[in-house]
Amino acid sequence: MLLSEIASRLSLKLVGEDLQVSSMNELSLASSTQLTFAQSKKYSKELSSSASKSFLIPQDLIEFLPQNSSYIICEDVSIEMANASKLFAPKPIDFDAASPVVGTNTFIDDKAKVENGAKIGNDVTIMAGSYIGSNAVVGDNTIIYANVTIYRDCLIGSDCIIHSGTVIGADGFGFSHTKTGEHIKIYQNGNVIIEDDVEIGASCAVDRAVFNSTIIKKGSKLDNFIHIAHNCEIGEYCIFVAQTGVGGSTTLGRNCVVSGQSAFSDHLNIAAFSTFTARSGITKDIKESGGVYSGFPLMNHRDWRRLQTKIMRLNS
Amino acid sequence: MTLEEIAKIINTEFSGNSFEVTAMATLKDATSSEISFVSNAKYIKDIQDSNAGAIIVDSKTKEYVKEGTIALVVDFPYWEMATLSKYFAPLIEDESLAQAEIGEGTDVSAKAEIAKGAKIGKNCKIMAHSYIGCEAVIGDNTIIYPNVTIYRDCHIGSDCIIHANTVVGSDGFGFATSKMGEHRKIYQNGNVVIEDDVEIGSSTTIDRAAFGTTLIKKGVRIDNLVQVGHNCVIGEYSVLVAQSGISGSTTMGRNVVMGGQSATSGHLEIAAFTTMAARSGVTKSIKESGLTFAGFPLMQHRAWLKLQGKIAKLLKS
Repeated sequence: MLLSEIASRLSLKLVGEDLQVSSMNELSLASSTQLTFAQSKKYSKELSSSASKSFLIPQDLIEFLPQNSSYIICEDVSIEMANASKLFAPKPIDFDAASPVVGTNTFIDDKAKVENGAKIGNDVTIMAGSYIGSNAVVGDNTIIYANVTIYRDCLIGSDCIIHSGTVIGADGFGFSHTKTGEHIKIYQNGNVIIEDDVEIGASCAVDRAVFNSTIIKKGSKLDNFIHIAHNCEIGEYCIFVAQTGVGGSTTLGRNCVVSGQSAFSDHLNIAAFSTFTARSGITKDIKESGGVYSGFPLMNHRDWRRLQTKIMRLNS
Repeated sequence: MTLEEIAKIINTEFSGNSFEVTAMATLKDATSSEISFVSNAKYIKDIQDSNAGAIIVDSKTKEYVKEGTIALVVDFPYWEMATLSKYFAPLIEDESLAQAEIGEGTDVSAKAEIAKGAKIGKNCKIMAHSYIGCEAVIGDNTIIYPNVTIYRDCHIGSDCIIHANTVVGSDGFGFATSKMGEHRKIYQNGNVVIEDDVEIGSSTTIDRAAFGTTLIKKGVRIDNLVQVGHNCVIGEYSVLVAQSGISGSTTMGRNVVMGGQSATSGHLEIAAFTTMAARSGVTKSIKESGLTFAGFPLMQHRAWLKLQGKIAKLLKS
């Protein structure tokens, strides 16, 4: 899409050369053909070193732009970013894509739906009521039980098992808020990548990324009712017990164990081999690996036990 | 599968006669044609009472295996049990089974899927996009709303109501973990049995047993988004309110009430007529019936109220 077209659809003015842009991305990751955005002076350094050539920015950031940038000046960057994201949203169904490619010895129930452009590997089982979206990929030997939904563009590895009612690739929860309290959708144009040997229980939700990918790495196991928000990265061999949730963009190292009804805030980095007991509420980064934590607010498991003893003493 | 074949799969040898092994089971439930395992020293005492034809053990536990029972000695019994469980997993879809039987007066939507070998009673209603797996059984007068999934071999009683998106019989969460931190699936070859007059809300999940049955007894009421782990037993007329979670192998007596977002650990016994207030976190068995609890860590509701009063005062001091 041409920058001039974006500017005109947003009813804003383009300054600089008219460029062809392929998609949008966040400031630190945008390539030279991607449209990006910066909201405030907090990002001035990142802005100066951005590889992108096209920007949505407020007036007061113009001076920090790299040389020869093209830019669209916005009064409220976050709203215009949301508006622009809509222009890049693919259609829910890609009717123009080629017929799905299905490997050998693969079973797809007549009541399942595989959209055009999808690729299904060998020895796969896809059961009744399941839906595989446009351009989605399912690796070899994977089992998709009844009534699973894989949204378009999502990638499922080999030897995976996905149980009923689970949804992979629903929109991440992202909105820009107007001054009058309305919420403008930020279209979630990324995808979900599930690596090999991952098992996902029933009624889980793994949301698609706003840009790029939400990733669940090799060998991780999810129980039922696990919510993984957009842009999360779940390390290899992690365990998630039922009814847990991970906020957007949080990254877990390998072999973390997350016990029942625990939850993470967004944008955290959690060191490998961390263990969280049931009902943990994690709101800060965990830097040291191998720790065991409990409670909300979170503390070392040992401290939590001591605290509980003291609390009980209040009563006596 | 013969014991000889099993020994080959898990790379071990045994002394004694090979026999046809029909299933895997726990020490307590295994019959003489079945194989069991000991993964934890605390189950050593169960070996004596077990009728299992063969038991997978490590070299330290071997001596407890009684005469007449064949011991298969491996380094990591739990890991090998997981390896073996795959070989006892039934087919997901079995085209060789007979056509499903559907009782008189039962209405099955053209958009629902009933797998081979299923049996559905009289006057049921099965709505669009629901899936009833191989050899599943549904009683009379039961209503299955849209998008419900009943996995293979599960039994649903008569006069039940299951709301949209609920999943009955998905795999319990069971894995063996190697020293390198890799997880191997323990195939969940049991089932779920839901007795008569049970109502289950929408988007609830009830996992199938690893061995044996996850049991929901007569008259139970389950709200939306409830998780029931594998091998649980929920007593008659119990009530599980929205977003509560029951971990694996926990057993409840009759008329237990679990408030919203409350949860239990695994392998607990909860006495009949126990009430858990919202957000209760139950980590120990409850032996006395008829009490009301709250909080996490759990305490009697009265103590919890008192404690909340004291905590509120902390801010003022």
